[in-house]
Amino acid sequence: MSDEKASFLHAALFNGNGVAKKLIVALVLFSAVITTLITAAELYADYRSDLAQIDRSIEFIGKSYLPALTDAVWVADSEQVQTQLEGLLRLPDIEYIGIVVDDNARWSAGKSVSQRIVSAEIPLVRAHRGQALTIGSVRVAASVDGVIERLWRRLLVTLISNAVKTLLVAGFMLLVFQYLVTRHLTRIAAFVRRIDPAAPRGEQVQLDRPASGRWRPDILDAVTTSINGLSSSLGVAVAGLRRSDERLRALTRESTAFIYELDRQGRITFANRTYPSLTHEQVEGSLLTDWFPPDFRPRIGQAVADTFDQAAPQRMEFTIPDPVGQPRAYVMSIMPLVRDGVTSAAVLTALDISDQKASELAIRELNSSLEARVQERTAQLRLAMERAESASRAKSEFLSHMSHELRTPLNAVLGFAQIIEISDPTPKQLTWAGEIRRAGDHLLQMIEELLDLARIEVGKIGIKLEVLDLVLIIDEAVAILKPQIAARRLELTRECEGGNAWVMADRLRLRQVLVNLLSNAVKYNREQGKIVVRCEQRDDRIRVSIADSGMGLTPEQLAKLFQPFERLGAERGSVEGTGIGLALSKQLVELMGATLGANSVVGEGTVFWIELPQADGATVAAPPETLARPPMQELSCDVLYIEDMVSNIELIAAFLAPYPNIRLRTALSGDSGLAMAHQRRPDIVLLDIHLPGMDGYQILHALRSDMQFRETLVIALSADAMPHDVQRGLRAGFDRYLPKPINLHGLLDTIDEVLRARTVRPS
Amino acid sequence: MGSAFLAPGLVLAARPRLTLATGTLPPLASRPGQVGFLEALAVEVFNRIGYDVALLKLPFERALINANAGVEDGDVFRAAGFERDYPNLMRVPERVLELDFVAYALRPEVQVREWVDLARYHVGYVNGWKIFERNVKAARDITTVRDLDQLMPLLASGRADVVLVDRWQGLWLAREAGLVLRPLEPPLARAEMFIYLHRKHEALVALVAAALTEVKRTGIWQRLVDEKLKPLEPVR
Repeated sequence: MSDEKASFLHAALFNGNGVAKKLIVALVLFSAVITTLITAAELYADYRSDLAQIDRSIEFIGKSYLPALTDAVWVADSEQVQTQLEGLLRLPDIEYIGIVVDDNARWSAGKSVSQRIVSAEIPLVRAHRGQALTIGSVRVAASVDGVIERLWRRLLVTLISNAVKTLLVAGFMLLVFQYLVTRHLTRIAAFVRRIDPAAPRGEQVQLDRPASGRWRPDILDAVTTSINGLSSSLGVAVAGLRRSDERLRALTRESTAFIYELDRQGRITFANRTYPSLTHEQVEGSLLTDWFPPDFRPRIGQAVADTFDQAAPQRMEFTIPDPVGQPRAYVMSIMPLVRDGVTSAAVLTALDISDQKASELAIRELNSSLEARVQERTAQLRLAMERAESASRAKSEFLSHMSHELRTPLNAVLGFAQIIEISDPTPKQLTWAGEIRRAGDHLLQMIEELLDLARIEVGKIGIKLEVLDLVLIIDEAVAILKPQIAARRLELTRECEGGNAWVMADRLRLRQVLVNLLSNAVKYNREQGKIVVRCEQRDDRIRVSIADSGMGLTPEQLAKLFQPFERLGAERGSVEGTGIGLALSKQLVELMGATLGANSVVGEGTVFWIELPQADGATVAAPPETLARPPMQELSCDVLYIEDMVSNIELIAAFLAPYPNIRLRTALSGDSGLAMAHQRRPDIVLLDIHLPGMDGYQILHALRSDMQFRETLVIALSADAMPHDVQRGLRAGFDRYLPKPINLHGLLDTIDEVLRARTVRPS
Repeated sequence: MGSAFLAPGLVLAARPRLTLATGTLPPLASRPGQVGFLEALAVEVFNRIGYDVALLKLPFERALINANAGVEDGDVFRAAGFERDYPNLMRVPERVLELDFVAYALRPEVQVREWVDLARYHVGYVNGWKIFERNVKAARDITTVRDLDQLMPLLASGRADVVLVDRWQGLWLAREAGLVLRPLEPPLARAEMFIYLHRKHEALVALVAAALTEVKRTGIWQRLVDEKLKPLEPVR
């Protein structure tokens, strides 16, 4: 054997070839286990087969020899019986066979000597005198020892042959593995060991085998390529790491915080900075606790230990003296660096917060002073708010009072003007009465608008949004202004399609705004001019615009358009107006979530528009049908009017005079009124609220408490015209509440409506 | 009604019946169309004690085994002493017959007067006959056969000079084989033959013995010997 071969074999067997050894051990063990299992299975099968053979031998005796044996035993032919038994003894594994008669073995052959036997007893039966007569039995004993012995022999042969085979294969595998794998891996390992991690030179490993061949490249080529690639890139990586390390040091060096890396023993492995009197070499490698006063060390050491043990950050604040003995406050946190589930290191960050602490103290002091000032200011504000609320209440009361005081005389003014108009006046009187009424209406409108504006300001106006057909509301507004349009011979065009423009708005307020805008378009139009009402879809909104053909507005005028009491110079002209309408309209439109705007071209006219949120018309219920009303002349009733102002009594009396079926009685106080009611039960009681003695509510209570007046209608006529007044009256039990000034035709309609409702009301 | 129907049957079944085994051949045993000596005698004896009796022909030793096992009620024709080996059998003390065991030869020069005379001859007998097995000590050659039927062909073919058998069955076998033979006198042995009953019939033993004595006393026994056996004897 050459030295080279010897060396190869030695390397294969002993040179730290643990992988090959493990492979061989695994192979031998696996082979041993498999051989054992397969052999055990084969031997078991043989054992079962041999036992089955014994069973077959016994069965063979039973089938083939039993008749002859039975005959021989029947005639007790001992020679014959013995001959047959000797013959049967030659069957495999049968070591004893005998004929038993009356529990005695009368004839037998062989001897049962085995420890393990299989035995059987077969009865000898012969037909005798019509019956089956058992004349004895054949007792057979077969030896299982023979079977076991054969199995042992077979097992031994199998194990030895397999052991030899396995050892030969294992040896061959060892050599092949050494040749193909291990020697190359050894070379690679040696190469890797030679690489200096601090200064890699990018060397390449070369295996001792051809560069190419069959079944190449293989896994060793891949490993070699990877190792060579790693060797090349290691230099680059080390340089990068150095740069990274330098950058880390540079970055952290300038930090005001102390940033240290600690190992599990609490030793400092990296320090970004130290006190000026110390060097990095002094700090790095030292124990962290050494830099703390002795009484602090246990606490610091525990914090480091907890960081590693619990893998959880620790945080603490403390004050210690600096190297010159000045107390300094620090906040310190220690964060675990967890890699693969294990805390490999910890990063300590300590920040000098002495200045911050001083600032916090100053801030706390400032806060205390601020709180006192805030409380003082809050008290002042609360007082101012109480005053403002008081002023607001006074304003509301003033508005209510002013409304009442203005409506009372207006009631007389407008009322008598209407009386004059219906009491056969001369043409000149009719003209004067008309002027009085227009002036009164104007005054009334101004009062209403002023009150609305005031209500908006104090947030007391109610908006009830519902889904509306815009075209219907436009038509209602146009109908109201029809006389004025006709009077000025204007041409009104409506470019809207009914049923398509569903909007979300307050019905009354929208109509009020539209009437106001249309009224402007009428008033500020030229004679025989045009008004165009147009509806347009704009995204999810619907724009309704009202364009006139008037003088138009300058941009300066447009800018002031929606300011209250701003009439833009019209106050010097002949057109009546309060200067409140547009301001009020804008406020109302915005309360409805809509917008109001205007465009104008001087000399061509002005366009006002409202953009309203679009609504789904499918949710609107059909409007109730209105009942046709019969002529006024059919009305017949007894009316009692309780009112302390004679002028108002005269007004109602004059108005109802043309209706002879309406019998009117009047009273100047509650007491006299109730007395008159008891004299003859009235159908309707018209009731002022502010009366000397009993007021209107007390009279109402008296009437409602008396069963005889349960059919009597009670209608309030009052200058208390604020919405809350009306609501209070209706809640108290008035059938109707009519604010002054009284629209006399409206009163008549109300009486008619109430009476008709009463006639159909179930008793 | 039911008892009326059953009553005659019960009356008929009331007479007990015994089955006795025998390993003999005619003329001792019966054969088709001819009642043998033993059956005729047994009927005479057992009728006297109120029993029906039937004889059953079985192989020689099987008759004993079955009688001992109680399969049959007894054996009708055995020498004394069997009760030792077959302990369930009880011998009826009154003998049935005195039987001669003789030699038969075809050739006239054959002379046998004692057991020792057999030493000069080829001898044949039936396997299992104890009396011959015990006494034939020397012979030129001994051939044992399984059945009595094989004995005379042995003699006729010359394979045996002498065959040994009892007097009456030997005569019957010779006649059946068409041979003219005479037993060589005097007989080699003589034995008294008895009836054996199974132990379950112990009570009958004395009755049977008495009945047999009565049959002999009245001459019936002799008449049966004369009718069933004597005619086989060759005319001197």
